[in-house]
Amino acid sequence: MNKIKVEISIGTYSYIMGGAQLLEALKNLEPSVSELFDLVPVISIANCNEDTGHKPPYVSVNGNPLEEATLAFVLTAVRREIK
Amino acid sequence: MTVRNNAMITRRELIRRICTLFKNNQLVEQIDRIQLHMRPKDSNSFRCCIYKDRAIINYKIMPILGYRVDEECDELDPPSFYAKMAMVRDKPIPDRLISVIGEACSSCPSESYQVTNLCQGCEGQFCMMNCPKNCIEMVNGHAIIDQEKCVLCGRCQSVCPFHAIVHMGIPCSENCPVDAITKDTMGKAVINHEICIRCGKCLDHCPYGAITERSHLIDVLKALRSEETVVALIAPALAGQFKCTLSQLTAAIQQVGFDQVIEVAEGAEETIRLEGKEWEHKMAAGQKFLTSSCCASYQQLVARVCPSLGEFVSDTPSPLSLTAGMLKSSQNNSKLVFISPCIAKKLESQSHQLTDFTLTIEELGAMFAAYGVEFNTAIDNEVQTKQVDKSARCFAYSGGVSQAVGRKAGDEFKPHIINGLNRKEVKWLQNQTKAIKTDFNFIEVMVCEGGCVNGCDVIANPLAATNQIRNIS
Repeated sequence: MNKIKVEISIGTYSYIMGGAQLLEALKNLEPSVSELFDLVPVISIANCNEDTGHKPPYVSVNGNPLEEATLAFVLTAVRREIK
Repeated sequence: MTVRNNAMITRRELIRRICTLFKNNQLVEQIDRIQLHMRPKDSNSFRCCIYKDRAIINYKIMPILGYRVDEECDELDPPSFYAKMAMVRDKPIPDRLISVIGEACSSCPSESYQVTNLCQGCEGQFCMMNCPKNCIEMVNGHAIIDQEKCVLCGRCQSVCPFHAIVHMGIPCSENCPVDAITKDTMGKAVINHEICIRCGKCLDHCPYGAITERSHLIDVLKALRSEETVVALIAPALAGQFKCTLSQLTAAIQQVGFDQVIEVAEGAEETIRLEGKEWEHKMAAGQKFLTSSCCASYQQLVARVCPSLGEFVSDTPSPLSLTAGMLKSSQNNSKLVFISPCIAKKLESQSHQLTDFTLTIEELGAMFAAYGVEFNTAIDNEVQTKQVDKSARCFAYSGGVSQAVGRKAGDEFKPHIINGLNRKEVKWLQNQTKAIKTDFNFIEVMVCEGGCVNGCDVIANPLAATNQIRNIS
């Protein structure tokens, strides 16, 4: 099974608006959960920025963008991809 | 603040928006619209309605512009009134830094223990049987606490086998290590500034963002726009705040307009050397122990709450004091801006006139965002950071000072580390002054758990920040 790709924006705006904490939370999950996906810090997520009206932190799960991402949102999106 | 929450998000978004308006020369003209952009019609509100949220946003703008809420001239004055004053003032107002927005304070209920519906009304009745004041009774198979009689000992909570009893604390006062927060007749938080040690824990823990800090942001932005040379003096804790190298961080700081970036850690090397010598000298003179002096909030604790500790506090100047002193003599015509992890360090810099202004790490991050500076791609080949010994950045985290001074002092050096100050630790510290014998001869006090990397104005997770600082070569 291909691993799910979770991209998290560490662009400045996303990082200061909670991305810093979200990144650490995703890095420190139980191995049984963290092995489900590859975590990739990126500078920007396609179509996610202030100009498009989206709010940070920005995350993308297998290419599907999430705004105002929380740990729960990300894990729900990961589970959706598994199904 | 390192735990993500909406009060923090609101504050950072406000700082970013204010920086953006300043950058676009629209501060005075557009600042009154911020409340509408952040809480538009039909949006969800955190309080009773968006109109109250908007009013509180306006109050939260005041300290960012450099004015305390209790300095309000007229309730009808909009943020643009304060923005105008901020744009023409010569320097920040050198007065109290912390204030409470009464309108934002939710008058949290008084501290109490409450029985939840997890209570099973068990035969054991552990809570009732162990209450020293006989204030619990069983009514229809459910424990009830008589709040009039309860003395808040917490015994019932600790013995309940179903964990059915919860402690309802008041976040600001519960986290204040010196009990400096009380309530007024309306139940709003009131800070006793005579004993407040400016640790910023109340600001960090208030779930409504009702406790605020007077900012120098506009003064810094004006200085950066002027013809003057502006030097950023960066705290050791800053090195762990952004996921980038130190030279990228330096380049990012220069991209927002600073002419030069100097690490406070440059002065830390001298602090370590002097503190090691002082320790040796005082131990030889028969002193029981020496305590560190670099945490500015601890200095406030000694001055305001525990004067008996005064004779044990190191006289060695802090790294900030030494570095700023060196710069003041060599760069007479420059404006110095200290980038600080907390309010206490801002106070140290302000009250001793070490630097002209202080910017918090959180404000620097919001400035980067407003000016479109991506810290992790900022590369400037001309940026050269001065080589600083790795151990000099240890002042950023708990245990680092002891480690560095210990290396100079030798085997006889026996440190005790206070990693995060609370009321119990304050009592312990006071008792040490009376102790005849101690099994340590140096106390390192970090008021924030983890050290400056967990100050009230930081961005990153403290553990991640500590690791990043340790890994800088």
